[in-house]
Amino acid sequence: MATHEKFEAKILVLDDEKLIRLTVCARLKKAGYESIAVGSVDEAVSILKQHHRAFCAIISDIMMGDMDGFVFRDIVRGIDPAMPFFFMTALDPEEGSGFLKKIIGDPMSYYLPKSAGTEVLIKRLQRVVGARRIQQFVERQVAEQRQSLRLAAHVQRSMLPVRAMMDDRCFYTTLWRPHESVSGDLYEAMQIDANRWLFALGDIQGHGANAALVMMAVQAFMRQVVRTHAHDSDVSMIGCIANELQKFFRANFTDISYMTAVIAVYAPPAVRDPGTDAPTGGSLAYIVCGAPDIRLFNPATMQVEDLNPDKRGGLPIGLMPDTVYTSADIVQVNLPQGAFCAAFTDGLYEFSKDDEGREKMPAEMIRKIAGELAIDDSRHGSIMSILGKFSAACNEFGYTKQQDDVSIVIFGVRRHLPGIYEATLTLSPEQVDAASQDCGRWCANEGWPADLVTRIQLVLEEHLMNIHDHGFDDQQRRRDVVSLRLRRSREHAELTVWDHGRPTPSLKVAAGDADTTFALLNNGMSGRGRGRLMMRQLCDGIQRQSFGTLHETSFFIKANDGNAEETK
Amino acid sequence: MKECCKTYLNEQFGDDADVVNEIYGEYVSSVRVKIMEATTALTSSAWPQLDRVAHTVKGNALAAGDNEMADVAIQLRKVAQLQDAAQAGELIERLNELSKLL
Repeated sequence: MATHEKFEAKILVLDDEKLIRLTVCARLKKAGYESIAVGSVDEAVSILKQHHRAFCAIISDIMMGDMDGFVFRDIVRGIDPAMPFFFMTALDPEEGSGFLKKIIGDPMSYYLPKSAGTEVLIKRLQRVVGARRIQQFVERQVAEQRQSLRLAAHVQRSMLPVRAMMDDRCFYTTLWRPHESVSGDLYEAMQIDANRWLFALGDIQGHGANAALVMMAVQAFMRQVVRTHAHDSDVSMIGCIANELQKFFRANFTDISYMTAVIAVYAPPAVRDPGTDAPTGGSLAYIVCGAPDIRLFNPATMQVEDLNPDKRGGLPIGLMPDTVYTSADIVQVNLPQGAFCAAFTDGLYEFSKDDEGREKMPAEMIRKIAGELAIDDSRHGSIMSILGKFSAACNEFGYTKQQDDVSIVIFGVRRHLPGIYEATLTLSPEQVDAASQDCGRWCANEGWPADLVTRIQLVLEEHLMNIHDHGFDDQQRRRDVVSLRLRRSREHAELTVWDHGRPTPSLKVAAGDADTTFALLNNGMSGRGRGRLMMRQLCDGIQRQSFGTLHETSFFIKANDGNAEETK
Repeated sequence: MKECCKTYLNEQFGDDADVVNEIYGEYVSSVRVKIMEATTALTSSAWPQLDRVAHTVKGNALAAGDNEMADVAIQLRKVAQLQDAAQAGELIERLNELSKLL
């Protein structure tokens, strides 16, 4: 008798004959397997329901008093679809009962004649259980790898600037969507000085872990270069960044990787009085290094325009050894009034191919974004909602087969709309407090009643802190940004908040049903208790919708508290 | 202990006399019970029941290495399926004789 490897996992033996249970268990014990024997299906099911992970295989009879062995297998498959299942039977395959066909109809089922000796039993068991162990090992490894990639994605995300920002003069918003957990795309959005912003978008060759590692190094290096050249002219700075990156790639990633990129310096126009548009859209200088060109949306013509008819630009960074970027490669333009720009990686082309393989999304994308931005009646989204809604819309239209990392950066002049307050903030108690104060000052300047302003501030603070406390895991919370918009009707102040907190079911609730809404909103999110009651008293209704991971929550705050104060 | 069983069980379970004796003891008692059940089934012409009992005897005999008993049980299954009472009676009697040798 051969010496067999010892296994820790147990084998469940089911047979209504005690003699068979005895002989099988004795054989298993001799071969080093621990087994548990039961005489009825009910007993076996009860054990499996509680401890099926403790078993690595089942050996069962077919013809039993209380139940057919195949019925038992069906029950087992409901508990563990991949559990190796051995039918040990005295039935003769030539009897014509068709039991062999039933056995092999399940890929994880095997036949063992009762006359088989210990050697045969153990050899078959070892082979199958060994394969099962390897499969479980691989599944564990894959799960661990996925977890590692998730953590890596958090780290990578933390390297990127916040996903959207708006100040008095300009805004930007971004979409960064890895093909897998991590991405070879990078974007940068950095205020260089009082008048200029740097926007950059890079696409490292390939995707996955190797591209992500290169991306991390390049992102860190580029920030250093930008800081070093922060006092240069636009053209000089762009040229230096491109050339320094070229050297960096050739020194570190020759024959390993290269990067397509757009590097832009944007100077927004000076702030004008609210309600009037700026005289121009500001100025833009940029270089394209093998990437898709920047597209411009001109609100005057409602068209997507080509900023670079001469096709200036250079090769991808790091692709060729002798590439030098010069001022001749750089595009310089003054932007039309109210215009905004879109830069994106070519993953968008892959993402947006239609059924016939034509690339058609970018122009449509710009128009869709333009529609969202054309907030003349203030009913459309905020800067942060645009790309989240765009991404969700792409999925709805069937553009779901992402083949590559996709990144989009939109930037342009800030529009000040009369009677509407907009802001973005990163979530922290300090920022929430500051946003509440800023919002309060704006409302006071608009002449809104003091008690309404107080109600708005209470709702705003409560909701934002709820997101801060309960909506994110630690990594995301530090970096994430929310945007908000406030406007006024006769009956209500409407406060809308966009965030990427924990996903919750999409729901719409009519005004007056605040109880239900807050019960749902607070479900699993708030342990503090005071919020629900307070919101119920302050709001006539709440609407909540989700677009992928983006959540849009609108609070309809009573414009007066019932004391007959006339609202504006 | 019947010689063929002794040889088979020793081959399967080595020198573990306790296991061999336990299995053999269970075999002997189970066969006697099953023969009584077979007789009852035949008396009441419960052919499916007789078929099932014969199947169990066959399985137990194979597990104990008693191929002679297993062969008779196989024949009994066949005649049970043919509902041949005379043949079945003879085979049950044969099983009874073999069980006395255990």
